Amino acid sequence: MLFQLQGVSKSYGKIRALRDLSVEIPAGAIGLLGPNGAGKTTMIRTLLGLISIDGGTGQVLGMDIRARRLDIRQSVGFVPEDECLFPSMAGIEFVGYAGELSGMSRKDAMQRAHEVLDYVGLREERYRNVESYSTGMKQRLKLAAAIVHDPRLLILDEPTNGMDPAGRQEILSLARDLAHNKGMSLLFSSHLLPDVEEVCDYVMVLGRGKLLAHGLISELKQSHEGLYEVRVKADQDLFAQRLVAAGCRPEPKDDGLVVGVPAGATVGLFWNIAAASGHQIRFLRPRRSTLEEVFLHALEEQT
Amino acid sequence: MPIFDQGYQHWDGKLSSHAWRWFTISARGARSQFKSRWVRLAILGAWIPAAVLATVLIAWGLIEQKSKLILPFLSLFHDLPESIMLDPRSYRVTIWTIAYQYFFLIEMFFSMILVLLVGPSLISRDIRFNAIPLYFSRPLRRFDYFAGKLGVIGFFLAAVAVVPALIAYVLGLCFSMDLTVVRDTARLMIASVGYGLIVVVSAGMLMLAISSLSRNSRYVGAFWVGIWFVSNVVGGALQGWVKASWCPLVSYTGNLLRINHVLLDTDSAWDQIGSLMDPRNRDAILVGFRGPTYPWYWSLGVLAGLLGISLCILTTRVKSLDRLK
Repeated sequence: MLFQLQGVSKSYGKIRALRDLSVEIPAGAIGLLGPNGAGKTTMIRTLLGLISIDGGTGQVLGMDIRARRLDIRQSVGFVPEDECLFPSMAGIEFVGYAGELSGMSRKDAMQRAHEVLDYVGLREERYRNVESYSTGMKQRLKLAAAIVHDPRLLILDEPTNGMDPAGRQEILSLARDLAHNKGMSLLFSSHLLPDVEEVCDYVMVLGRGKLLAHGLISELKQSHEGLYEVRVKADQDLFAQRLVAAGCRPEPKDDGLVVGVPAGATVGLFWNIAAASGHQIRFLRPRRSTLEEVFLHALEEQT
Repeated sequence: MPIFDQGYQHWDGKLSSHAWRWFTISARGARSQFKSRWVRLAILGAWIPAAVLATVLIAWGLIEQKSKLILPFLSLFHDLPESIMLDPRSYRVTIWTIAYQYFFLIEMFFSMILVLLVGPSLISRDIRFNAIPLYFSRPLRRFDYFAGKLGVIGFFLAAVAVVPALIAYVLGLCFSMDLTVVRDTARLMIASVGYGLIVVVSAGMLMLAISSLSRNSRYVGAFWVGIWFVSNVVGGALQGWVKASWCPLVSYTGNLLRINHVLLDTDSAWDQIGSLMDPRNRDAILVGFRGPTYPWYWSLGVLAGLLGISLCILTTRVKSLDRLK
């Protein structure tokens, strides 16, 4: 188990950031979703042992969140959302210092800093002062600093915010590689659902301090029995009429149709109707929920 | 699939104990500050009084031995009463004490300068660059952070006050060729270390507290100059106008020096010197050398109060959670 929380509550004055939150999350790449004010950051703070919770218990990597805060932080790497820098240092010193703060000897920390900077793709730039780095370079630097001590769990808080597409893709590739090829568990907090979908296998959705949904993304995005998404060339309305005549229930969605077929009907029905009416099918697949729909559905259920 | 993946490799080296994490912050800070030319110059300047102190202690050791080496320089001591020169060993503690008193008086200036050069950026720059979350997301407590930052100031103050005082002591000891020096003057060595600790904790915590109040190191520096210079000027002015015994308490460095005098027991030294003077003029002459005579624990109270305020400011201003958005 990566972490588990039982009945965790936390309030800031009158604001209840976490409400009796109970969850058990397995090791792996975990996406943390939720709108602003959902309690994501408070949950991350709780996991890192940075705040005292009002009630409940929990464990991270088998360590109690109240009793073993420093041990947890020793085993966890954290990439904060904000621009955070140790000032007046070259990149290599920055990562080495992060390693030393985690307890590595100076020699080990510098050697390891070079390794992780190679890994995140900061080459000669590592000898430049960090204040001169671009947003993407700073993000990769923070990632290097977070993994310099080889944590078992890496927490990334909105790691792709404000990045250009190429830089974003680099960070996502690194996160995915760490989680899927290097055996490091990941907690990936983001508003960008495609990012979460690209990196994570498992997702948890928070809303107003409560757990709204959690599970494997592949399972949450369940297929819809008897529903297909289809798009044809030319007159789509005529094709829809032919589908209705065949006992289907077509509904327009974006630039195509979502079609409910009669019980027992197969995908061959579409090909037969298209052949008879002279339409070209350009897109056809069984209907599946997107992560966005899962997310919105969870929020709707709460409201 | 490459034979050897040169990408991310796991690491299973040895980690140091939590107890020493503060030292990493201190060492890093000291290395960084030592790159400043002004800091190096200040340290160099601060070692001149140390050299003078060592010279005085060495000279006195040679005088006690009536060494030939000191003969060419005896004319420098012609102002001293004859009774001292006839029996220098009886005045050993007195001379050493007064030498240390003046050494620390001059070093106070260099200490304040070094705190001014080194201290303002310690926390203010971390706040400005939002580095606090980077510290507290690591296995560090707030105590480690504060102790680490205090260690930077401690390093430089020790370099200009405690270490030179101890080196001068050892040199004086070596040149005296007399083990009774240890018995007579051990108090001075202990007092020097104790006083150094008091200055480090008091000035260090005060500077850290001020540093946490602003993102701009220049404002912090200006604030420090205010505490140092302005409190001295106001304290001096009040002494002239009000002439009350509490007036010197207004001066920050005055309070530190009052504690210094108690630890070194300068009163006894000046009493012995005073016993050689004309009783009619003695008090008038000695009042300028002795410094303030109000109860020393008043100064200790002021310094303790400032320490308490500093701790309150630090614990309020540096909260890991507020910075972790």
